[in-house]
Amino acid sequence: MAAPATQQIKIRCNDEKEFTVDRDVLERSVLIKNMLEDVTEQQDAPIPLPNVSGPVMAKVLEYCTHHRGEPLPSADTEQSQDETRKRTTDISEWDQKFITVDQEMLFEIILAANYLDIKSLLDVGCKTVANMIKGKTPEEIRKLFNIVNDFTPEEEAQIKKENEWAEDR
Amino acid sequence: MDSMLEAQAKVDEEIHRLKQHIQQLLIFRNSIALINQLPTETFVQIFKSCQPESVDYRKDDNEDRAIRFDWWLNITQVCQRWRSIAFDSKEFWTTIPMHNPAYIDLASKLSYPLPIHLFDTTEDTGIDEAFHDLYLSLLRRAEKVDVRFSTGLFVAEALGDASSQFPLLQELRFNGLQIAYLPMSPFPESLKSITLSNCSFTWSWLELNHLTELHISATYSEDQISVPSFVGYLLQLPNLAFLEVVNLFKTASTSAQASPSTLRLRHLVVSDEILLVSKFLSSIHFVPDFTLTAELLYHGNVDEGQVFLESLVPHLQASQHLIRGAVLNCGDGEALHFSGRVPGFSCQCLDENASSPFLRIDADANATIAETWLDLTQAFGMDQLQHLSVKAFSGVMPWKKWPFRDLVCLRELTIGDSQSFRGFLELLAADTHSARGSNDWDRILFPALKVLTFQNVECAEEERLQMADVLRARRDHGRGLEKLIFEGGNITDEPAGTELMIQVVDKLTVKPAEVPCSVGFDSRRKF
Repeated sequence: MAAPATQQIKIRCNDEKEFTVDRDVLERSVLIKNMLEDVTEQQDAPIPLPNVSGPVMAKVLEYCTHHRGEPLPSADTEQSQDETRKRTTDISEWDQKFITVDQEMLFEIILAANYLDIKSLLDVGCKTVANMIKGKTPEEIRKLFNIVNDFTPEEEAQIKKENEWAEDR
Repeated sequence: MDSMLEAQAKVDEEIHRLKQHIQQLLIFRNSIALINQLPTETFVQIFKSCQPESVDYRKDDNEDRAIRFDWWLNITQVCQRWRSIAFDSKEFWTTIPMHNPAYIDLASKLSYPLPIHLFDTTEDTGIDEAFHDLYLSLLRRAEKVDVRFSTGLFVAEALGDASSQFPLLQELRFNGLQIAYLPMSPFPESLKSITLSNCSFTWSWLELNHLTELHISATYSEDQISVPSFVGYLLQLPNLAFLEVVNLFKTASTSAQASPSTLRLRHLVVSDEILLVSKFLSSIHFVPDFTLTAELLYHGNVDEGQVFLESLVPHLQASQHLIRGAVLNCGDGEALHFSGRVPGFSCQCLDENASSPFLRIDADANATIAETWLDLTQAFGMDQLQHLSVKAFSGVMPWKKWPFRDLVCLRELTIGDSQSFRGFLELLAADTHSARGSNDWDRILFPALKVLTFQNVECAEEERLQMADVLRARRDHGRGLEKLIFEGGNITDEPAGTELMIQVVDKLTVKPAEVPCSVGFDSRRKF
């Protein structure tokens, strides 16, 4: 017996790149899921996604395809996940390989996950950045993310005091 | 002279203007950095992930006496935006270690008005009045108070008027404090959990009708704590659902055995001498859906374990299926006896799977499974079991002897070493072969298995292929795994191994081997 046909949905990115994707894959995005639920009639026009570029969407879809069928986090589980997030920065092997990209792509993926409301992908992105930050000095963090010390002399003096608190403990 | 000063003033003004301009340029430069394109709420999530793991409240070494709060210093000292985000996130500042007045003051203001978690490690009396006032004002916002190796002076004062001094208190932890000598007044009804480690205490101190959780570890009372007196005390805690008792009993009491008391406990963790635990367990009735973790200390006397088991089995059988989980060890030799479990296991297991029945089986390499042990497994109601961990099952014989076919609900299985893996693989391969032959996949072993974990399993190429074949066959007949986890071992050492396993499961996770860690039981009681 043939499997039931999966509905295919078209999306269009901000660089006009279009994708045709199985509905259940796209519905990993709460934003798109809600959009699809709001549309009662079949529409052929692609869903515009003005905040995501084609290459980033391709990565996001790779993630959504791999995780299709997994339960979406419910409101009830979010709080406990939040607690877990505090304690661990473990990322599964597949996710780790998936997120091993250059910084520009990493931040684009995080922004896209945030915009498309894909909590698990956002979580993987945030944990990856947290892992990059952990154990580094402020100067090392600045160097890593190409940022500079922009504190005023007054703020610098306050920071010096705070460091003394830490030594004092 | 005047004109020179005027010229210098103008230069100073220009320097100031240029410095300000440079400052603005630096801020602008940072604002266009890639990472700073992330929204504030995403930064908050990232910073939360940077927090260190919570400290073990039962550890008694100096290194861990003060909770680290410098994790956020690095965050707040990177650039203005990061500092501003951290300072605006009240929840980052709610854990307040009481050892630096300046920090306490800052954290208290930044976290206001959220409830806070206080860590008191103050040791000396050389603390001024301002600090004292600050401390008491913070207690009024405290949901959790953790006093470790402190003189407890401030807490002592607060305890004298606990309901008004701790109006929000939900959780109280004392480690290394002589609380038996502290003044006492009724606690607020919000207090649900008390943890006492390395403390002295009196029973009257713990008269708390609303308490739901009690942990008592290596704690002593001037009056000898006997099993009957403790059970009598527990009867005064009608809402207690979780009890952890570690090295508490000093005597089982020589008085005549009273009839068992019914407690509403849902979860009991007990660690003590075998005979004391046996006495304690036989003094109480278990309620439905009860979870027991028993860690039994013995001094090499095999008979003690057997005596305990024989006394426990009828008790468990009388309450068929009421026990939802246990961690019990099965030693070597003809007779069954208990030994210390791997520290940390039950905590991990209970934390993650507390709502599901589980059983961990440890057997030494040459273990023979006594009839009594099989009785025990029956008492557990194996058909309900959802989580099982097996270690040191040598060869296929123990696998064939055990009633694994009854495990129709088993969802998660952990294989703890290479020996067990071989027996398991052989059993599973034979079962798959048989299902292929009869084309009957409805009666295969572990039909509900979804998560399979291998810990420190070393296997040959041939075994790896056989495992993949079995898992593929199960998946093709609707019994596929959702997760396959390798912790240590060599199955996925080569890329080919990983590729092979990815083909037969939905999700593959590979982790380095875990280092066993102590959960903080009294180090004087080594096995």
